[in-house]
Amino acid sequence: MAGNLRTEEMILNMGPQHPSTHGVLRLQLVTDGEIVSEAEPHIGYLHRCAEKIGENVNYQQFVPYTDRMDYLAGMNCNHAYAYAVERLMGLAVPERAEYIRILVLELNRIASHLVAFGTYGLDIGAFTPFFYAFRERERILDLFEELCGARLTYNYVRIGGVMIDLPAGWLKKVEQFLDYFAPKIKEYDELLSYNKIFIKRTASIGVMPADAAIAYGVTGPNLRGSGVQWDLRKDEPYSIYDRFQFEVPIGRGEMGTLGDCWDRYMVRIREMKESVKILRQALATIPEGPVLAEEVGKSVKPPASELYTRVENPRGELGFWVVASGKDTAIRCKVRAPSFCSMSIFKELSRGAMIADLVAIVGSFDIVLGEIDR
Amino acid sequence: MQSWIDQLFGGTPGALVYLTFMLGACAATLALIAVLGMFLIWLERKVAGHMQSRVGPIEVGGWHGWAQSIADGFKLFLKEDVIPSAADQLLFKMAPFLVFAGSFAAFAVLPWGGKVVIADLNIGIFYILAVTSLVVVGILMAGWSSNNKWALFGAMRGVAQIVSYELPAALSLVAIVMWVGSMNLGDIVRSQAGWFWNWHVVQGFPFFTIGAFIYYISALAETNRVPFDIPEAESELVAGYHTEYSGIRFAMFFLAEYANMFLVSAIATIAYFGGWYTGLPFLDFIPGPIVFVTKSLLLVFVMMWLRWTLPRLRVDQLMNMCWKYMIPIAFFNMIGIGVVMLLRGRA
Amino acid sequence: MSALGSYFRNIYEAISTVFIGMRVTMKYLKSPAITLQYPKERMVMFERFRGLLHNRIEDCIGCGQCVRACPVDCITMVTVKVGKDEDLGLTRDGTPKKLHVYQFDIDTLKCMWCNLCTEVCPTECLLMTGQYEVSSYQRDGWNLRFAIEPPPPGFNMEEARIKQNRIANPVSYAGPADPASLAIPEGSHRPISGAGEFDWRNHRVAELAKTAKPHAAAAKAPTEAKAPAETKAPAEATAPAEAQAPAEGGGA
Repeated sequence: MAGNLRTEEMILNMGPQHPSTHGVLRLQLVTDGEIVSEAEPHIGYLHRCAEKIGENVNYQQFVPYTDRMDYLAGMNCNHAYAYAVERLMGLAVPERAEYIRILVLELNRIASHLVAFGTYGLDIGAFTPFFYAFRERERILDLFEELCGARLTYNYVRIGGVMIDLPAGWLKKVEQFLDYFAPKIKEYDELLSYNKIFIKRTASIGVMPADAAIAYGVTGPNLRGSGVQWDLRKDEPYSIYDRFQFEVPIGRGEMGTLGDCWDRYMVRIREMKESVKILRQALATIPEGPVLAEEVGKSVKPPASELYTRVENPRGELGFWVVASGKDTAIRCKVRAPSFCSMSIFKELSRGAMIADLVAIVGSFDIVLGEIDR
Repeated sequence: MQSWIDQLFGGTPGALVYLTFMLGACAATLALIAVLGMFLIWLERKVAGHMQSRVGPIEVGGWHGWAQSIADGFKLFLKEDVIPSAADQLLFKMAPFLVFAGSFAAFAVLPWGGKVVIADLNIGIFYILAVTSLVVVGILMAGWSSNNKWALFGAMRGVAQIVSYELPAALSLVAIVMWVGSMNLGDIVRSQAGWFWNWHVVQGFPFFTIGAFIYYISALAETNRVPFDIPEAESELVAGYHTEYSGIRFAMFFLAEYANMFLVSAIATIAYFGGWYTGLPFLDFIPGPIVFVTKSLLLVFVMMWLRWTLPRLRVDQLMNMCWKYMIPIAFFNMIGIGVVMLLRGRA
Repeated sequence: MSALGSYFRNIYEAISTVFIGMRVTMKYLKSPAITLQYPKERMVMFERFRGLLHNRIEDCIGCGQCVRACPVDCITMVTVKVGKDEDLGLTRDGTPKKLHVYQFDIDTLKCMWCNLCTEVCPTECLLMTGQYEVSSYQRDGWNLRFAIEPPPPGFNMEEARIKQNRIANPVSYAGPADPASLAIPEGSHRPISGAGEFDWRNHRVAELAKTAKPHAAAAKAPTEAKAPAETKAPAEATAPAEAQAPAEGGGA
């Protein structure tokens, strides 16, 4: 009778609408019961031709489009693009603008990691950390709203500086927020990070060896979770990051294997603490002055040349390759999205995992489909 | 209840009288479950809300949205009865009622107060354990007949989980039965009369304390609550075995889950936490049913508290925990109680 | 022995971390909620809030900077130079107006709320207000038409529009939105007694009460927007009827 029993592998579709795929991602699974033998990601559901648009609008008009790629880290994406164009033009940014940039970049990093933390808890089944994360995020978004008027798509960090100076009392509010936020990280650790069930769900799952990560181009917290000490803010400092003291947390395999989901998750939690440190230092040393370079007139016209620059986004290395033609529109504006490379290693990591583990792995990569598809 | 009917009629009335009273008791229990279910659903949403720094229902009915469950129930009644065309029609329709019957039938033996019990069976514990297993059949029917891969997944996981966790639950209750010497639920409660240190959970330290934990955790697994809610894991499988159900059929599943939650809390109260006794004899003027329901509701609140705190276990980790941790500890419990009984001469 | 040791350590860790987690959630069960009961309670927007666009057309000199700055080309403008003997007057800050503005439409459905247009406006007539409730029962409810000067008879609007705009937005939308709906309804942001160490519900209301400066455009929009609505009434008879729908959708 055993000879007549037909066992087949089941082809299952997870997404594009699914509570746990962090966006419109379609995962085509070939499973044998609970064990997945192959998981192929299909992307492109959020493609909005951002790079083509970059060839049709001028440099300043493209800045709002950068917000919408990685919408959880709008300031960082604005800055990546503005930095690329400034390097192309050889433009010097005023000191105060640099300090303001650091403030908003690190606040946005905290906000982005909060989303990663909250949604990861939701994927694993803990419903409450999500609300706590968004409660803290609400305060950051209120700060941004007071600063530039928008909560998600800021268009604040511009070519040559920032859009507008800080409103009165804003620095005090940032300090109040930091005092409020620092003890919350400890609470998150108590509630989720060191919870035995969470550790069992994430430790030794989705182990990504360091050499495979580097080979696939994975960067950011995902790479640091595998123990590689690589952070563009320290290793290729841009803006004024070399003036601040902070550490770069890496995974150490504390709870299971080095490079597992728990390591990547913990790197993000620790990075939030480091961002708080950077913010306090920036608050103490911010100078007065103009916030936008005077040479930036109505139109920005870099000389005909091309340049690739990269910055440390909350998700990894965001690179912009800008080909300028001397006119006010770029010829080519290519984006190297960190989530795209993080997703590329997913197929390898998912072989032999269970379906519940797939959810844990996708969540630990902290991808944003807006960035992958552009 | 039979003795009460006999007292009422001064003799043994005919079978028809018994039947009428039984039907009345059924209706009363059904009404009680409905009200309790609605109250618990509202409570769950409020507890969830406030633990998450938000309010739960707040509009419907005025004061903290107390009528929200009634409004939701009404809405579910009015929904269209959608049955997938490729589904097995008979099984699909029967499944929710089987799941509900599994927990409804066990309400018959619960002693609410000193003499307030519908059927004072001598094999109360055994009956409860047997009847609550019907839920397994219902879940499997629901998952299979939905003709949906995800639902089947959820049903398989659910069945494996419930069947496995019945063992530690039964074993911890067997320890209680050994100690008390009777399977009658009323007797089990009466052996905890007096001050609160007579309660089994305190009296039988450490074995009954561990047993209470084991039973409570197994109860969480029986009712598919977090951290054991993998059959209905919302973030993975949409809704598990009841994905394809809508309207009144879904309401049946939902009600069954909360009735089951109350039932297992009630059994835990009876077996470990003193049943209808307040534990402080000077408060014994409070009627038994009120004390009993309050204690059970407190245990249900702890279930809700756990739900909003903990992540969920993966299915193999869940099974691992049952077979490698819970069952050995439950056995150790049982043996320990046996040894204590020998030493104290209660055997 | 280490296997047995790790067995018991697992049990201990499981129970202790569960209790620690439960302590955190119990703490928040006892703390007050931070929910704002919208729409009964509304937040007051900060001064820099980027809400719906509004153009004070009497200050508009028709320079077209905003049309060129917009990344999505949502502003459509048709202008004609004034003749030698015509005098359109001055704007609020004294700039002479040299162009007739026959059409100034902002298609809110295309607007990406980026604020680039308001930054380049030389007379600061184009503003972003504090209005964020931009929902309408009609798809064409949010094509905002600000121009008040009708073109002279025989003027070819189609041709002018195609020539003067990079992308000519279609004119299939009917009727202007009611500019009066730009104001946040009176009395809808009642401060409520907040609770907790950070006053979640009142922190913005309290902030603005301290500085006592109402939102620049929201304070002015209701009084000035009435004027264009009245002058437009004879031109488009369907205006009042159409204006009701977006107002209901926006103000409700």
